[in-house]
Amino acid sequence: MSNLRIAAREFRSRLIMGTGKFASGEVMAAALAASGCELVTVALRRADLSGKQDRFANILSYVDAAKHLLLPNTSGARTAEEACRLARLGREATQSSWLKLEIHPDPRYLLPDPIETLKAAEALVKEGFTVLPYIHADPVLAKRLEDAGCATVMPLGSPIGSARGVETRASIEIIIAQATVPVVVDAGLGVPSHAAEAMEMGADAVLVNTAVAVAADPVRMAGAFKAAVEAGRAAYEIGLAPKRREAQATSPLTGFLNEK
Amino acid sequence: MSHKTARIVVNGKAQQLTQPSSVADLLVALGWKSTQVVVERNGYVVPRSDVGLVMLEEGDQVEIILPVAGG
Repeated sequence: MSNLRIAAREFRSRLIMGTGKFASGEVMAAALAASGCELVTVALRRADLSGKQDRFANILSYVDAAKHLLLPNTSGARTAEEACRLARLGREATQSSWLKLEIHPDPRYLLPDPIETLKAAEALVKEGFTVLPYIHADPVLAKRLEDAGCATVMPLGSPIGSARGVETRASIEIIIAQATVPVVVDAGLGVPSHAAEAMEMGADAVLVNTAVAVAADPVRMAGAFKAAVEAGRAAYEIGLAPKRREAQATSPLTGFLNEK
Repeated sequence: MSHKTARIVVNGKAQQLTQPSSVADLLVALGWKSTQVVVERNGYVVPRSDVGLVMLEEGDQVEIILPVAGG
C-alpha cells in the first residue's frame, strides 16, 4: 500500500481517528493503537471553572505524541471568525499547526457552512496553518478550497455520527477525479464496509470516530476499520473489475455432460 | 491601582480581581495549570511563555480553553 502524503508529510496509515465518545481514556488509547492511525483529532472547549471537572483528565495524556500527529478541530465554531480564534488556541494548546476546519452552525444535521469555511480557510492558510476542511461533498467548493491552499478536502459521506455510509457517492467521485490534494471522506462511515467503499472509490483516507468509539468492543472495531481501509486501498491500487450487464462465465463453457 | 477592583469576564462569567493579577495568577486561583490550558485575552492568544507577564486589566474578556475528546 502506498503512503498517504498530506502537505509533504508521509503517513503509512490511511485511517484518521477522532477521539470523541469513548468510554474512557484507556479504551481510547487502546483503540487508537489498534487502528494504526497516525493522525488524531481533538476538540477545544472552555475549561470548567466550577471546580467539578477532573483536573487530571487531560485528553493529550492518552495520545502518544510520538505516534500520532494532533489535529485540533474547530467544532463549536459557527462563523469563520470563531473558527480562526479556535484554530489559534488549538495551535497553542497542541503545538500543532495542523487543523481540522469545521464550521457547522446547525446542531441537528451538523452540516458544514461552505461560505464561512472558505472564508476561514483563506485566512488560516495565510497564517501558516495546514488546513484540512470538513465540507459537504461539493466539487466546486472542494476546488475553491484547494485553490485557497488547503492541504486536503474532507467531504462528508453522510451527517456526522449518522452511520449511513457514503450517501454522497456521485459527488465524491467528481471531487476525487478533480482533486490535486488528498481527499479524505469524513463523517457518516458507520461500518467497515463503508470505509472500504470510500477507499475503493479512490479516496486517499477516511476519518472515523463514532463507529469505533460506541462499538461494544472499540478496540476490535478499530482493527476491523483498519483492515477495511487497507483492503479498500489495495483494491483501488490494483484496479477494480469492470461492471457488466451480463454474466461472464468463470468455468469453461465446453465439455458439458449434455453435449452431443 | 485600578487593578485592585478590576472586573473581568472569564469564560462568559464575571469575576472580580482583588489584587493585581497576571494570567498565570488567575489560572492558579482557578486551579488550572498553564500547561493544561490555553488562554485567550480580548480575542488574542496569550502564548504559554507569557502567562506570567501579561497582567489582567479592567474589562478584559478571558477565555480559558483546553483540549478535549472530539472527532
